[in-house]
Amino acid sequence: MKVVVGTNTIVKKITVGTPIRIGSAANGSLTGLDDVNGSVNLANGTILQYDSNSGKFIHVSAADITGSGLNVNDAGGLGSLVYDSANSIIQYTGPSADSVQSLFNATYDSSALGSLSYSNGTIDLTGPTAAQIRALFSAGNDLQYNQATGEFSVTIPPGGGAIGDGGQSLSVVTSGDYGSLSYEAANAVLTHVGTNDSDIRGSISVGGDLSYDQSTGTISYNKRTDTDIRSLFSAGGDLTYNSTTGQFAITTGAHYQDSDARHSIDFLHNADSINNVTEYGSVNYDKSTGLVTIFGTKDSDIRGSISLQDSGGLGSLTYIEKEGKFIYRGAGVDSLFSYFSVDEGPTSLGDLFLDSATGSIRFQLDEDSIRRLISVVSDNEGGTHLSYDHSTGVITFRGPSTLEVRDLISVDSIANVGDGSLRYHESSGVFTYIGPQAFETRKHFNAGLGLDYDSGTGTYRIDSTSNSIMNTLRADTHVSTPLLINDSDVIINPQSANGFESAGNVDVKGSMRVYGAFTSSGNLRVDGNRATFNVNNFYSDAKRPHFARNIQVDSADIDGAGIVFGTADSANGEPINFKYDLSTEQMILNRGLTVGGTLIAQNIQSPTTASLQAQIDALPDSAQSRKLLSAGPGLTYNDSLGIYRITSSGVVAGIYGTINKVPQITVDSLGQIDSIKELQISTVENFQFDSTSGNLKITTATDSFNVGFTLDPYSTVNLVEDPNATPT
Amino acid sequence: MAQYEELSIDKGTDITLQLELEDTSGNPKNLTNYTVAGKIKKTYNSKDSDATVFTTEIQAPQTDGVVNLTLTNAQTDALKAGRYVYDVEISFVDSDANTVVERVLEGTIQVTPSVT
Repeated sequence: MKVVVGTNTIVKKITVGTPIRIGSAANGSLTGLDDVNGSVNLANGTILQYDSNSGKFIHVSAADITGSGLNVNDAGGLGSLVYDSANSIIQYTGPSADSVQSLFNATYDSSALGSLSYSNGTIDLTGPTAAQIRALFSAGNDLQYNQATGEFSVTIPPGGGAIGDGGQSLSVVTSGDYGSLSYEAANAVLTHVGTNDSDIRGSISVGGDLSYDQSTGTISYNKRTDTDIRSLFSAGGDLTYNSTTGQFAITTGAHYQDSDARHSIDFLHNADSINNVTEYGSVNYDKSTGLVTIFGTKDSDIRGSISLQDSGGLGSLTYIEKEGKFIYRGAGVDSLFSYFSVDEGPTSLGDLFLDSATGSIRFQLDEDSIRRLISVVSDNEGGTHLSYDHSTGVITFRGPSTLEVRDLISVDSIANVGDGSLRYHESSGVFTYIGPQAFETRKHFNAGLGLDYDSGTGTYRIDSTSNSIMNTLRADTHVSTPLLINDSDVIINPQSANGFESAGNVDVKGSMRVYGAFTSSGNLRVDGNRATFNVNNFYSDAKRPHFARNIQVDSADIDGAGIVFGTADSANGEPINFKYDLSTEQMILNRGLTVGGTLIAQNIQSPTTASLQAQIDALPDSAQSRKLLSAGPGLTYNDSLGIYRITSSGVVAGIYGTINKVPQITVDSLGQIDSIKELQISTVENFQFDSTSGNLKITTATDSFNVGFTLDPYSTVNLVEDPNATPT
Repeated sequence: MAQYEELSIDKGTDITLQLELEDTSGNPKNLTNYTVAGKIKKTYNSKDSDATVFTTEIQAPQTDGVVNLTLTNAQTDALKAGRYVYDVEISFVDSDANTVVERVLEGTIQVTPSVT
């Protein structure tokens, strides 16, 4: 099997939907495509025909359906019917209007009023005129008629006009023998005479033992006597009859035969000796043949003999005689509920209800009962009162009044011995607290380590005789040395002119700012990012004061700011200092300066000759300087003369390149011309045409080329001489 | 690759999927001597025994390239609502007696649930 995945076929359109189903396949109509038997017999022009064998529709041609084909028969008459077998079209052409109109005509009774005509399909009726119609009517007796106007009128005769008047013929007809009906025309009176008793009695008659008196209408029965009746009977054979007594008697024969014996035997069936019931089973005895047939008791007889009595109680018991089946149906829930009852005890706090329909038992507390169980006891102390209403179940608590409450509150004067005072005003309920006085408060404080305390004034002072360790110290007056401040910023802001004096070392781990004088006999070390001295003078008696970072001076006081080492003395004069001169904007060092490293200066003025000469002497001379230099790649260096030259590549100076040659330059890695040579240009030196071979030979300075040369499709006639060409 | 289309059908209804096929030249696909098959599975790895098979028919004339695939309402009712995969293949037997199968359509079918 070869599988090709969607390369040869493209799905152009997808239609998804519910298939159209019409009719029923069982009824010979399409319900879906499944009902069509595929493409069997499928051909152009075929139609579907239901095939009951396959239960599907099959394709058949029209000719197959119509047998020898379809034809039509035009039996004449108006219009035409033809069949186009090529296109399977039956065409009916209806009659023309003329031919239809020709079928109609109009005739009428010429003796009648009016006329009827017909022309080109139009029927025209001309009716009778009013005068013709009026002429057809007339009147008689009391009715008058005016033919001109067509009006009828009646003339009422005098005397009323009732029935019978005016000579109308009115009569009555009677039938039967009794009664009569008559009509008096003169007075127009109908008279009815009813049947009388004699007529009815005369029409009745009787027979047999009945007699009838027509005059009175009485019917009488004549009763017969016993004698009369006995005289009507008689006897024959072995039977004799006494008409006097009315008795019949049988006279038996002289011998006794089997038939006599059989007739003398009879069977009595007593199935139940107790109840003498004989309905179950039977014995049949044929006296003529002496045959005894016994029919036993049947199941139905036994089932029928059983009866059932449901004496009541829960459930029911029934008996189906036909099946001999007893059916017991247990008690239903409803009937069980009827046996339930509820009873409430004499001390019950509520009511117990039973719904016998659902068997639901509901207990409902009686509020009154519960309320009766509750009582309250109130000692009514403190102005309170508690009461209880049994009828409503409400417990009411009444609290003390405001005055009663205030009366219950007091201040313990014995325990109130601390500082300040607490008082209570009972009538207003106000507590008044007066805090402790200053002297009372001061008494509760004591001094700790490093502090002195005066309870009279409440003043703390640092104990000058003890060592104090604290986290932060703000000294507004005077701090004696030594002062060690670890891991915190130090702000020294003296309020007096004493400033900060340190007889020993000052060691600050954080930043430090000093306002005013700062005097230290020992070392001052500030390890923070910045040490700011906003002071007039900064003194240090240390032997080697040094600064690791900047020293900042306010710009207003920058003139003369600097560092002074030592003090002035007679031997050395002004102390060593390094100050800033604002007028010259220069730092002035009043002593010599030795620079161990590089000294960078924009201008050095007034150097001393010795020092400068020493520096100059230290410099190399020209010969020594030349010796310090050397040549790099591509250069040659003459250290005697100090001249650098480019190393010669051997290229001869000159002009390279001619009309026939181009220079070829070789450049080395240093970008210098390494060599130059000339290359020949391949110019055409000669053309030579070989008429025998038809080849054109082109000779250049470096090569030659043979080119086949033909004029086809042209000839020499097509050649045009160059008027500017020079003959060779 | 076969064309990929996502379809949606209603559970419990009769469905006809009509495909109009054409060849690479754009002409109607001549399906004479072709057969058509189509199946629906829950996943590509589902067993064939669990597949729902389309009833297929090449609509006459076969030169029109129209294929009808139908599902009865009983078949769609048996499908649980959800997403399924399907494909449609056409095949014919060539002169060497080899069956050449071409998958012309594949994709997913979303079966939407029904209330009735």
